[in-house]
Amino acid sequence: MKTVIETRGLTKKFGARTVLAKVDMDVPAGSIYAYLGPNGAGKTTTIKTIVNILRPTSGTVKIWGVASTDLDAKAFQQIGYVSENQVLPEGMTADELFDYCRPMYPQWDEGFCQSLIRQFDLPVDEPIEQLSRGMKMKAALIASLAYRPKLLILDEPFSGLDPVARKDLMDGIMALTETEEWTIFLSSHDIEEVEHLADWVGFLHKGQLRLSETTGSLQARFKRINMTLQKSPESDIPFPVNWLLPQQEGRFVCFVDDAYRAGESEKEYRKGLPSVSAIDVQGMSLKEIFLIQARQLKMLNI
Amino acid sequence: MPHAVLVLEKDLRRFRFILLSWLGVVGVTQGIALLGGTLLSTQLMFRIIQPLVLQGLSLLQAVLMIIFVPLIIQADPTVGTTAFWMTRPVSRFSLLRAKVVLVGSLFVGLPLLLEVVVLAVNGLGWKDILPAAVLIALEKSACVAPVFLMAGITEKFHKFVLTGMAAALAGLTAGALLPVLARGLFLGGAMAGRWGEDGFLVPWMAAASLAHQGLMIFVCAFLIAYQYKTRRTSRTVLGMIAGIVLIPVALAALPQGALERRPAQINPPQPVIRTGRMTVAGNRVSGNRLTRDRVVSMPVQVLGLHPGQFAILRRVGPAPFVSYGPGVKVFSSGALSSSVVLLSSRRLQDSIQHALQDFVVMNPYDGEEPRCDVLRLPEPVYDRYQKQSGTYEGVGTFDVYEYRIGVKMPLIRGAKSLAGGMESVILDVVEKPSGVTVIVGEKSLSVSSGFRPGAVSSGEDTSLDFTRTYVLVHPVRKEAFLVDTLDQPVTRIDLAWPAGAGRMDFKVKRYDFSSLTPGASLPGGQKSWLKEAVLIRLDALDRGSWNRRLRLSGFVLPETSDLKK
Repeated sequence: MKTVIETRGLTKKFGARTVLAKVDMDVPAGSIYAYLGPNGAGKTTTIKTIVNILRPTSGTVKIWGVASTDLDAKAFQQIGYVSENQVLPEGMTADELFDYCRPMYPQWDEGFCQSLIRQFDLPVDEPIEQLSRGMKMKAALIASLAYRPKLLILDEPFSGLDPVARKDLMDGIMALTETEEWTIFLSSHDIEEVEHLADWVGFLHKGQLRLSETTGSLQARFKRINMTLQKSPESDIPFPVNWLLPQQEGRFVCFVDDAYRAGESEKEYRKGLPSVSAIDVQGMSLKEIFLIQARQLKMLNI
Repeated sequence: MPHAVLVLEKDLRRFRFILLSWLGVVGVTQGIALLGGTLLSTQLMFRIIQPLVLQGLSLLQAVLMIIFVPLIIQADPTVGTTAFWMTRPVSRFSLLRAKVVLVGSLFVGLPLLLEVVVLAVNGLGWKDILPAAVLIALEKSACVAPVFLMAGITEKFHKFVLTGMAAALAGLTAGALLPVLARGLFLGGAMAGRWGEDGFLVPWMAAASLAHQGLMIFVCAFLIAYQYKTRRTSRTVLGMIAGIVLIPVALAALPQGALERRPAQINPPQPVIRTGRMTVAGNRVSGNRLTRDRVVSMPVQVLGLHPGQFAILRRVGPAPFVSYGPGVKVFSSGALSSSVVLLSSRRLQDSIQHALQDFVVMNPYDGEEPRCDVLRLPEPVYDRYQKQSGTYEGVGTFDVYEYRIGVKMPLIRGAKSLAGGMESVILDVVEKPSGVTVIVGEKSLSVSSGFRPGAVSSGEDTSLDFTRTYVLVHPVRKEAFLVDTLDQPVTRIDLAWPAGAGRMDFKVKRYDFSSLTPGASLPGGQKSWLKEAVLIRLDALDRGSWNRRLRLSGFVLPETSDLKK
């Protein structure tokens, strides 16, 4: 697997506060990597470290094998970056912004730029500071897509947008991903908004990367298990420790298995509870998986 | 296209109104300065208004610079994490180059260019303009560089203002305290001078000022480059604090070490007074009260001064611990008003000669007896003392000075110098058969509560004149001609300073280099000589004050009736 972004032991401290703690992450080339986590988990800090806005306290960040601190102007010609916090140059219209950016990128595709402007219905003659938040994000996205970067980094791109603007942006990115061989690294605290986009996910919690894998693999191993027992047990069932959030009500037991293997897991369930009469295995959405993760971590007080 | 050019273009487009307004203010300032040479000598109103307008415009320029530089720098800040350029293919040095070019062109290059134009229009040759241009560029850069640095380490204007105020306060405190400490610890003694390569004395203060500006620019440039390269703002701030502390110390230590230390600075003078035959020079009117004063003059010698120094008898007061003996009387407290010695060029020649070193000082007033007004007595007091002849003792307070070269200007109308904290401009050069008369305008600011805004007075500026005097110099022949420091015709204009109680003095002085003795005659009428001539302003450096016992033997005042005529 060819990696575009690679972090090893990435740690970032602000004074005594540790925001990122030894994050090891690989973002494969061509993937759409959703970097998820609640507010304050450290997603933006990770991204700012990746693009060399912040310097790691320890550990390394590499993009295409180059340390982020050594990224030069040429490398940035292949990186697109859109952030909810980014300040676009003031006193410019969107057209002037594109005029400013165009000469920076030899591969700037003007036709593509114009098609994006049409697609996003962006008013190009108005000063950027007078545009709505959604329009500003669209302008920033066009300024980051028009040169067809090999790596697109989006930091909470949909945050605070109304549903229409959000759908426009998402459709834009979706349409592009179908035609371009891009790696997209996308952070969000809202799983639903990126669920349809991502094929890789990373889950950051309090500065620690709890998981990082493909959505397929994640959804394959995370299953909601509903079991029916032959009769109600007379005492509490001692659930195996690898059953997440187990619940029992009469003859019915349900839990989440985060290491489900088709065929083999059922045998293990029966071994643990011989009185099982039926097992129903249900797939889980990413949102459900992350809620389970969050709840589990909370229970463990992590 | 280089990315620095892109950033530059972007900034030019965005800040075009700033550029235009700045251009307007600088242009108007230099336009008024350009008119100055012509109008100052003829239009009284212009004399009054011009300094005020120029001061106002200078203040406006400073304020605009303090506003505009942060706007330009903070459009692409190196601080914070939200700047657009940080994730674009704009290298930090491209950004720095763009900002330096824009800020440098606007706030150093443009004013410099216009000032050079003014100098050229005023008739200065390239030989004079080039070094002046270097000095102007240094001065402007030394003003802009710290502002650039402050703007470079802050993201928002209000933070720039707060940081700037803190740094200015720290800089002023360090600048006031540390050199004193450093001098007390390492050096001792005051400043001296050294000869420059062009044969003129390079004043220490000018050298110190250059060193200060140079160091300031160097430190700021280093920190700005460091900030742009690393974006480690906290380290840059630490560097800035180190600079604030080290620059004054380095300035106090480095230049003086390179200068010749004179004996005068090692051992303070121990003046001894010798008085001569007393005369009553005449009567004077004191202030507006129409009280007649008697001025008692006598030759007074102050011995023990070091070469190049001269002493001024500032006042005579009662001696507190006089051993009374037969016939010894004491000047009573309150009976005497303060007195200032009036000195002719003869008295100052030694000091001037010392300052000018290689030049032969031609003194047309050689042979004049120096006058020294020792006592100024109101008429009733005079009458009392007149009846009590004998030997008197008092305490004379002496101020000791020595001259240094403050300014040199070509003898051309409009030639101007801002050195030494005073603006001097040659308003006119009037050639005469036997020499030349130079009309000099001097503008200075001082704190004073007794000014009368708009008041114009003419008279003789006698009491203050020893603090600066002018000599006319022929650089090739190595001759320096003195002008009499007595009875300078002066027009003085009091102007209200917008900041409050203060006085803006604009003095128009006439220095007549035509009454020369045959042995030191100025080759009057020879225009080629005048073209090469240089006017040098000598500034008196204060070397301290000393109190010495003043004994006046045989104190007999003439009959008052003789003087009342």
